[in-house]
Amino acid sequence: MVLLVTSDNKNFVVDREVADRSVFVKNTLEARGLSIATPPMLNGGCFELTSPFLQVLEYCQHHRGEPLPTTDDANADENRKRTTDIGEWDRKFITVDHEMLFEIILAANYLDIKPLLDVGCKTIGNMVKGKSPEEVRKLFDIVNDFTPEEEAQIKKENEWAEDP
Amino acid sequence: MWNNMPPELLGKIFGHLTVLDILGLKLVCWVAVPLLMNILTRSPMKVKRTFCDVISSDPRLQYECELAAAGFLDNPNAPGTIDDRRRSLRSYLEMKPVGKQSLPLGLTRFCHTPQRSGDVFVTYDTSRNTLHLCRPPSASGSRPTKTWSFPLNFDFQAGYFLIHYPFDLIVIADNLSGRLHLRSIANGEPHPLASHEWIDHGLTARPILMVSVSDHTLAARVRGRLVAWNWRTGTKVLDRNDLHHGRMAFIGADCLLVADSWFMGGHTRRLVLFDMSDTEKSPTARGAGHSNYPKAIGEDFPFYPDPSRRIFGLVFEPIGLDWIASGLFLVHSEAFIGLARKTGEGIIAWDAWEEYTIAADMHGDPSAGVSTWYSVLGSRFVRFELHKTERWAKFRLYDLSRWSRHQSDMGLDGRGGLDKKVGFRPIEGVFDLPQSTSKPRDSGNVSGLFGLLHRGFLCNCSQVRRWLTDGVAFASSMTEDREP
Repeated sequence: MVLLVTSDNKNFVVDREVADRSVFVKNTLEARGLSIATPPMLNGGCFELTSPFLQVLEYCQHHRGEPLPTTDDANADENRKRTTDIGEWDRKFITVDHEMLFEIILAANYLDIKPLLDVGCKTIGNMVKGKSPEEVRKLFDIVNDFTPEEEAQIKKENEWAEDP
Repeated sequence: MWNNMPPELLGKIFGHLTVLDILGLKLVCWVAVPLLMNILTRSPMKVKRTFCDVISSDPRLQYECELAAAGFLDNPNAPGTIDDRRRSLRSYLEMKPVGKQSLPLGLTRFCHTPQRSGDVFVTYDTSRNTLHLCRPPSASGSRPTKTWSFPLNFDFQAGYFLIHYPFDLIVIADNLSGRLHLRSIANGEPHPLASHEWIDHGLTARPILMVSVSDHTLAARVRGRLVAWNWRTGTKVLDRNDLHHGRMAFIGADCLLVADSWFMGGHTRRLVLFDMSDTEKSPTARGAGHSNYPKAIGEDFPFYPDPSRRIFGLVFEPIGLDWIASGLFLVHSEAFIGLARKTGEGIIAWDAWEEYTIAADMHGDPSAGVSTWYSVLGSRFVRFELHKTERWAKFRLYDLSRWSRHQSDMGLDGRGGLDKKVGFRPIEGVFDLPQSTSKPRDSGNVSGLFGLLHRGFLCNCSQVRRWLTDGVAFASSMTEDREP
């Protein structure tokens, strides 16, 4: 068992097997030979950490014991990218509001949980796919700061790729 | 949300998208544009795959796309057929890094925003931060290819450059530092005449969108701002914050024509003319023989009177056209320009000094299966009609370089007010497109064809036509037969 402490001072006691899903935690534990880690001091602490961390823990618990992806293998990376489909459990798991989704991605990136990061990125990618710019803006609450002319200019630049 | 995201994560997210999706996302907001362009240029595998989806049945197009995806500029002199060249390019790309001794086919490295002035091409190599220049051989072979390059000693991630051949001048806008550099085309050293490089903190906050240069003046368009210097002396001659958006061009000797448009309860469009010729230059450089230069506009449309500098404004009513500001200038001669505006409906060129229309080409109702496109390069513009299933193309080329205000045999039959149209006879023609060999439905191919057609057509229409009908290499049509 290891004790993980988040940046907002919440304690979580989890199995070593679960904690090891995070390459960051795994490396930290192995390096120090400790059973207590205080990992997630996320950059600047600009958001409450507990809620995404709970989600991340849930993910780790579900996927405990699975082999970790081989790191830095270009082929494996390419294969991972090619498959756009997400597993059934993962899809249900990742069905959260956008803010949480972004925070999970940030946490997964920080804790170095590659499969979770992939699931998150693919999910956002799928959300954006095939959407009009207006829909994307609405989806992620982005303000349109183009003038109509600038927009037209970019549309013109994109013309080559569109079907006439 | 987006703002908190480290760029490498955004890269991961967008890495799952196709090129078309990424291009669409460019329309979301300003922050996205440089970022996405970066992703596009840095993920060649992805680009390559989708390009080939779009244009699946033409080896020439595929070769061009593979070149672009791999980051190469074609070498028109390379031996072999297109298929041979594709094969050797592919085998080169599949080689392990250790095996990669030299570039195949005499290709040059990645061309980012290729440009040409006179017949010199400039390309920017993103990986090595280097500018490459290339002067292709003449078609007759009497002049060999010349290529040379020089490294840039600053970070040129997001930038813009412009070459001005007659003055041996390259202007490089470095959007990260907001600095404008002036180099010599010949060797890349700082330009001997320009002793200054400019940094302006107002420029750094927003990207430099456009740079234009004339004999004496260098103008930079930043979002909502226009700054101009005399590049020979380094003095700032203009700094305005009330110009919103649009193209600009130097006309005559040192007059800057700026298109401006903004949206406030409706579109407003105007042309503003800044006359910088009275600062430090000889009056003889003005358009000789045109006595009303530039009086006609100034007297009739004094929208922006400025005691220190002569500035003229001109507001065009939107005559059933969508927008003017992103329209394209046709710089014609010393004395006047034609301005063409590209709209949903057509294109117009007119004499800005005397305010009449030189040529106009408007869409009628297009018949079924026909798509119509317009394109502009320099002083030419062309209208294309393409029939996708019957596979013919019709073009109408307006070559304003052949037109002169004082030439009556060009079909000019009078001139008058702004709306008065003057007959200008275009060059017209029809040709058959090559029959597609593989898939019956290949509209993607036709669309890709369009892009190349435009580029080549406006450079030299007869050669592109030969390419389309006989399979002559496209690259040769990019080389205008112009001796120095």
